[in-house]
Amino acid sequence: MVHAALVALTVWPAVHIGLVKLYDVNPWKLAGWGMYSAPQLPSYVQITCLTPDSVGSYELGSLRPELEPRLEEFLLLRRHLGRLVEPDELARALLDYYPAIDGVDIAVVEPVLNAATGMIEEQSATYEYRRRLPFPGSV
Amino acid sequence: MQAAESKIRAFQAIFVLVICTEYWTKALSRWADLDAADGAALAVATLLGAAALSGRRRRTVFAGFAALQAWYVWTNFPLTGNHRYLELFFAALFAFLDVEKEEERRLLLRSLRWTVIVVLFYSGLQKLAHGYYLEGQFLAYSLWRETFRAALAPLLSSEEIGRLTSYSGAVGDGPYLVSSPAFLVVSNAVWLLEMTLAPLLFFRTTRQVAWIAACAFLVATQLVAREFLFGIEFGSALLLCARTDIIRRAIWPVAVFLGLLVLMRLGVLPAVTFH
Repeated sequence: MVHAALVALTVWPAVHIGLVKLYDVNPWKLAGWGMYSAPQLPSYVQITCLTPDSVGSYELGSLRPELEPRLEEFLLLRRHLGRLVEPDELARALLDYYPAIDGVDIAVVEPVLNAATGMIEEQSATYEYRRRLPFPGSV
Repeated sequence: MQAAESKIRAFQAIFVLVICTEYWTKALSRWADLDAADGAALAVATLLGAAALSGRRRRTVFAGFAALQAWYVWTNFPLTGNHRYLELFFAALFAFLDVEKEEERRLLLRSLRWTVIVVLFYSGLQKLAHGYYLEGQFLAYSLWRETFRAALAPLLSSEEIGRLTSYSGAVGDGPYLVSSPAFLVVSNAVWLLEMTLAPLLFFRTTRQVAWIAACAFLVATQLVAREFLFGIEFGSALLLCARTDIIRRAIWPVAVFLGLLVLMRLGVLPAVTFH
């Protein structure tokens, strides 16, 4: 039992490094011992609502207070678990709250420090959700 | 009492003091808004701490600490700080292995030392793997923090410190690169020392010099990072690598230091930022 735990303790951080590289998992968290190894920069989302009428699409400038906790929860999970977390719940809540829209595009914008150039750059991933299509859909 | 048992008992005492201080300092920092779960956790930690220090049914008490830390990790996941996982692991080791049985005691001491080696080595490897220390990018970025600025500013020219502190961490800011050779030496020394000292702690012939160097390195990093509770816990674990049971002599100074941290949170002493 103790030996198995020691093996897990020894192997897990190597797996953790892989998760950081592949999925942008936060190196500071999850017992990978990567505290202070990379900056932690806050991410945000841009939400575009799609309508079936002539408007077509519009950017959601601000969220209703009822939806704020969903957004905060997503951003928190995303910050620590990286791309292992997708905004499915947030999209579902938006589609439920706005019955008139056909779908939402959620762009997750994440500032990153480029190690090669030393510049803070933006990387983003857009997740597309359509009311009539199965979740999730990301591009 | 054998030296190994004495060392482990001393480490257990410091470990318990650190965990109780963690719960108390956290609770005191938001006393007015303390919720029922955190209040209950504080009470449990305090009771377990008292039971552990009284020396009764130690393994059961440490099983309780392991359960408490598992609860904390679970309820705060994924925000949980790494030191909580470390505490969960230590507490589980103390619960599983009997200090009074020679074979288990030997395994326990080796397991504690191995944990220290793993944590130290991967701390360095993570810094190397992500590439933010090779050209000083992480430390340059961290100059917005007062403690980092105070420690690292003497290594930079006034123009460079002015440029780096003028950035706000926004998109387009940078480059977080430095030309100062001294700054680059310090930046690369961090991961190099961590990855070098870890294997040196493994071998008996180099362990003595390695734990002393690792403690000195830890003190230097804690002056900047101010992760005092983790620092005390990890530093105490490093003392387990010493030939003598020097860790016993650390109990009272640690207890006094932790008491000062609680007094700071109570507002009795001037506040110093620590995590």
